[in-house]
Formats: sequence, structure tokens, C-alpha cells
Amino acid sequence: MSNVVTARGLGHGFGGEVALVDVDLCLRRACITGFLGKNGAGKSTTMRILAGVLIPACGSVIVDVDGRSCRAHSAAARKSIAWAPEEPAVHPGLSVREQLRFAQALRGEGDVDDVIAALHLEPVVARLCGALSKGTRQRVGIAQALLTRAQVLLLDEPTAGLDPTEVEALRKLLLRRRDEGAAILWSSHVAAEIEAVADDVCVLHRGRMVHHGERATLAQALTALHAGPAAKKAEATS
Amino acid sequence: MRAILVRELRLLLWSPSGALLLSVWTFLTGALFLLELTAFEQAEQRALQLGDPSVLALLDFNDLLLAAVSQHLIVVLLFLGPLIGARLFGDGASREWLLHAAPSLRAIVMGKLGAGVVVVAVLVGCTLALPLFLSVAGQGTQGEGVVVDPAQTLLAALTVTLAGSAFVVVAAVVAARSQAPLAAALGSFLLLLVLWLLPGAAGLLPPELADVVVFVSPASHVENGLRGLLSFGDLLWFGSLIGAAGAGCGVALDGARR
Repeated sequence: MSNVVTARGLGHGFGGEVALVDVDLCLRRACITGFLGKNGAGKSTTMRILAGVLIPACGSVIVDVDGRSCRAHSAAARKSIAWAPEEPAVHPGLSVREQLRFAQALRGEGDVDDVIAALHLEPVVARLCGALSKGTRQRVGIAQALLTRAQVLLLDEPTAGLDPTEVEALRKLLLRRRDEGAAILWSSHVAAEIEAVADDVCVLHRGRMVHHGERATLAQALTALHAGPAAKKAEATS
Repeated sequence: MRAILVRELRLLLWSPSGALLLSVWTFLTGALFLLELTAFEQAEQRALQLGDPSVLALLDFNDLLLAAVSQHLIVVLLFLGPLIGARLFGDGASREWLLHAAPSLRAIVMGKLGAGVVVVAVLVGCTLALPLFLSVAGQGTQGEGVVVDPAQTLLAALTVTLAGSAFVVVAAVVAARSQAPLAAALGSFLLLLVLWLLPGAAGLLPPELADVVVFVSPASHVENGLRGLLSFGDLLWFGSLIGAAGAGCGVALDGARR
């Protein structure tokens, strides 16, 4: 399977604080890549770079758009990527339907009714986004991303605030999108969640990519990750 | 661009804050119009008591009342413009998502600033009902009808719209660079207030600097329009300011990517 997104040597910082160091990441077509890391590991920063809203201080992101190589922040690349940020980008003053119609008009494609049905948002379509629970707002944010037939989906902590039934429905929906050929990056700080859904797994720790491989290697990566700080601490005390 | 324009108009006009904005505007402009009209009538009564037709002839409804009301509207917009401008770029999460989902920076800037200008035009358009109503139903002190000059009225409305739009776009630039909408609104209000009052300080400055200060102030570019004179220099000044503000917003949004 070919790579649809290739990130090489990504580095970034905020106000002198290093957020990412030399991160390499590839997203394959028809594959869900689990993106694991603790809070503050740099997952959201990586997502924002891949979504084209942040230009990295160093490194590059190349997106394959119909055989053409485009930079992540170019219009063509952004059109082929759909991003659902951790904090849902919905306006509190718009109703759910208005918000989704806005996203549809902006991207120039998508069926609002389809995505409302797929994410079971029918009971709240007329309600203002500002009056929704965190989980429902999260579903609206995900609906915005799933509205288009983008070949890359970037989902930043998509299950935050969702109940188990909603998580299961989302998992099924994303597996279907994967089978249709989409490359999906699913970030989380819960290993079990990634293990249940991902084909590939990458682990970010303090801004560095410490593991990138198939799902089967996750346990090994986590052991190494947890052993790392403990081993360093033991080394320091000795 | 159209999608962003429509969304911003929906949020600015068809929302609780939009209803508040329209209510405040309607109340203030109505009250100011009534005050000026009363003052104008009193001046007419005094001129009639003097019995001098030449004094009465000096009291031109269009020159005096419309210009004064328009001046007041600009001052009200000096307060409301920063709030509208800050509101356009106030939502950080939406702004970042727009950078991802919108086709271009130009579409974001034109959609948002376009909405700000349309809102000002709608507000000013509402006030046109006041002279229109007066020309239909009003009566002069001697029982004659009130003659409202449509060209002068529309030119004054255009001038107020341009000034208000300038206030909105300047505030939008400040808000696009800021993460705190309220601070951006306050900061841009202070900036606009200083710019507005600059000509008053021109007398204290050397002549060559005074000329620059007077040129920079929007107050210097509304006088002709309020008197019913079309000045292409003033139109160009406002057009350039709005264009420069658009470029400034684009630079600020692009800077947010780094």
C-alpha cells in the first residue's frame, strides 16, 4: 500500500519550548494508524502540522494528491485531508445543521443528511452547538470531518467525551471508511483504544517518535516506553 | 468566500448578540435624530420670532440636521465597530479550523471583512428610514413639507458606512493578531479614538507633520461626504484603508500558521 502522507524530520517549538523533535510519520491508504502518546507528547501539534494549519520549524509534510506531491498547507493537500481537532471547531451560536451546512459549503462537497444519520445526530440537529454536551459537540466535530470524501482523516482524540456505544459506532464508521481506501490517523492516550482499531501504531513520547510499526508490535513498544524512564531513573540513582 | 460571508452575517445579525446590536443601534440613532430634530425646530422657531427671512434661509435641513446626525452615527460606530471587528476573528478554535478547511486565506479575509462591511451598511441603511419618514410625514414650522435631498442623504449614508467599515476592518486586523477578543476590541477602540482625535492635536505640531496627522485621521475624510460633496480622494483613502486592513488580516492569519 502506498503512502498518502509522508512527514520527514518534523520539528517545532512554542516560545522556546520544544514540542516535536525529528518526527517521521507515514500514513498508508486503506489503513488506520493509531497515534499514541501521553497528554503533551506532541500528538496535537503533529496533527495540526499534517492538517496544514501549522508550518513546522523544520522538516516537511508531503501529501499525495492524485499522484501529485503537495505540501500539507497547500490548498490541494488541505482539500484532500479532513481534520477533527481535539477541541471541536464548532461555533456555539450555530445549530448543528447550520454548522454542518457551513462545513459542506466550505469544502464544496458532502451530504449533510448522510453524516447526521451516520453519527445519530438527528435529535440535536436544530440545537445550538453551544448548548450541546461535550460528547455531542465532539460528534459534530467528527461529522464535519466525515462530511467529505477526503482521502486522509486526522482525528485528534475522537473518543473524548463519547460513551461506549458511541465509540463503537464511530469505530465501525471509520473501519468502513478505511475499507473504502481512506488513510486515517487516530490519536489517543489510551493504548487499548488504539489496539482495538489500528492497523499501524506509532508512539510519541516527549515530542519524539519512539515507535512506528504494525499493531502487533504495540505491546513491545509500550514495554520499551515504560521501561525507558524507569531504566533512566535507575541509572541516575546508581 | 460566500459560505464564510453568509455564516458571519448569520452570527452577526440573526443571533441574540445581533438583536442586541440592532436594538442598541436603533435606539441610539433614533434618540440622536430626535434630539437634533428638536434642536433644529427650536432654531427655526427662534429665527421666525426674529422675523428675518435671511436667517431662516440659513437653516437648511439637509446641511444642518443630516450632517449633525451623520456625525453622531460615526461616533456611535466608533464604539460598535471594534466590537464587530473583534467578533469576526474572536473565535480561536473556529479560526484555526478555517485555516484548514477554507480554500484560501483570501476567502477567509474577504468573507469576514465583507460581512463586517455589510453589517455596517445594514445598520446605516436602517437609519435611512428616519429622513424618509420625515420627508413623507413631516411638516415645516410654517406648515410646508420637509424637503429631504436624496442625493445628499445617500452620500452622507455612504460616508457613514465607509467610516464605520474602516473602524470594523481596523479592529479586525487587531483581533486577527490577538487571542483575546475583548482586549482586541478595547485596544482597537483606543487606537481608533486616537486616530479620530488626531486633527485636534495638529495645531500643536510643525506644519509638515500636522499635514500628515490630518491626512491619517479618518475624521478628515468624512467632512466632504457629510456636506454632500463627493470626493474621490476620500473614497480612495477609505478604499485603501480597507484594502490594507484586508492584507493585514491575511498576514496575521498566515503568521498564526508559524
